[in-house]
Amino acid sequence: MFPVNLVIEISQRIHRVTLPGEKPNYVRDPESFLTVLPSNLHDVCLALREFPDYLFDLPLQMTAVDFINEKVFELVYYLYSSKLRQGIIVKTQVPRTAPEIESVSDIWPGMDWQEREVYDLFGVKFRNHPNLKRIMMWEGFSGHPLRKDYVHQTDKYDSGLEIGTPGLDERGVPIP
Amino acid sequence: MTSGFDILHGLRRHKIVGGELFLTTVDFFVDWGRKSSIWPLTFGLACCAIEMMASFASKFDFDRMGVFPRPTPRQADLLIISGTVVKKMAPAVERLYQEMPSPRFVVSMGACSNCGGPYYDSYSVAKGVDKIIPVDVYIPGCPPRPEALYTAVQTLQEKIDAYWDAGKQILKPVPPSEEALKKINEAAISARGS
Repeated sequence: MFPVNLVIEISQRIHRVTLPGEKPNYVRDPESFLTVLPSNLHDVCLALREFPDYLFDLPLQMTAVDFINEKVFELVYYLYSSKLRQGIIVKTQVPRTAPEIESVSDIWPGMDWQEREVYDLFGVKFRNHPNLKRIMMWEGFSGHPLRKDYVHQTDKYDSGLEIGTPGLDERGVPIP
Repeated sequence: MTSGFDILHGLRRHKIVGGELFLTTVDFFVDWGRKSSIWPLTFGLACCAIEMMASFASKFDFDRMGVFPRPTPRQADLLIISGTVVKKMAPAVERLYQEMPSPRFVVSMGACSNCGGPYYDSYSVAKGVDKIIPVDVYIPGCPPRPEALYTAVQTLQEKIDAYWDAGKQILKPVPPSEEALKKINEAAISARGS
């Protein structure tokens, strides 16, 4: 289980939507943020699901952002508690050179395909994931297309004049 | 032969005893049947498929032209590419086309399947379905209305006429000789038993 001091630290860091003793506030968009270190993510997620003040049992989605100047991928987890009717956004950052993080699909099985999508499009590797392979792109596709430095290789379905094709500038005009 | 539904243009009529004799050619008759029952495959790819479904529903009712969706490519004459052809789907589209019996026709519906449309610069979208299969009729629009699909069906009917006439000499029904008509009349009289 999660360590108790972790719960205390979480409670100090996040802004709670509903305080204890208050009437449940029906919040549509979660506005609480929690930024954690990637090494703590799995424990924090377990605490967010299990601790009676949080009970985030519904993983809405997860996604990633490519901050190419800061050389990090930011992973964003959207969680919601169907019992307490509160939401939270958990963010963490992994380095772009070796993007790797613990999978949370054992905590929320719904995160399985979300992590596969992030792996497919961003190339972030999830440790202990049961089935980490491409989900959107086809087998044999090379590269991770939502990375900012992705260079598209023209194939037989392309006309060769698209923006981003090697040899063309950003307006699609051939570079002499 | 002319386009449209007027079958009488390809017929010669002769009055005989007890009624009329209609003469035509097998080519005309086969073409008439072929263009009057263009059966498309039940196959949709993206939002153009919504317009295609509306075309098959009661308000536009393409069944009055004989356009009636079939659930298997083995029974289909027409493949309506209604939506974005992504590269992951392109081999499946090509295979569906190969599974259809000849003669087979393809209508490219909407900007996406014509040339990639708004997703032209995407890494995952094929830049037109004509990269993989031949296309007979292109419909512009994003998405095209059912009226545009109606026009495409009419254009395809005209094209079926022109297509089958192009490769061969147009055969006109040969009028029967006087002796043949006399024999037919005699046979008709004896058949009536009067």
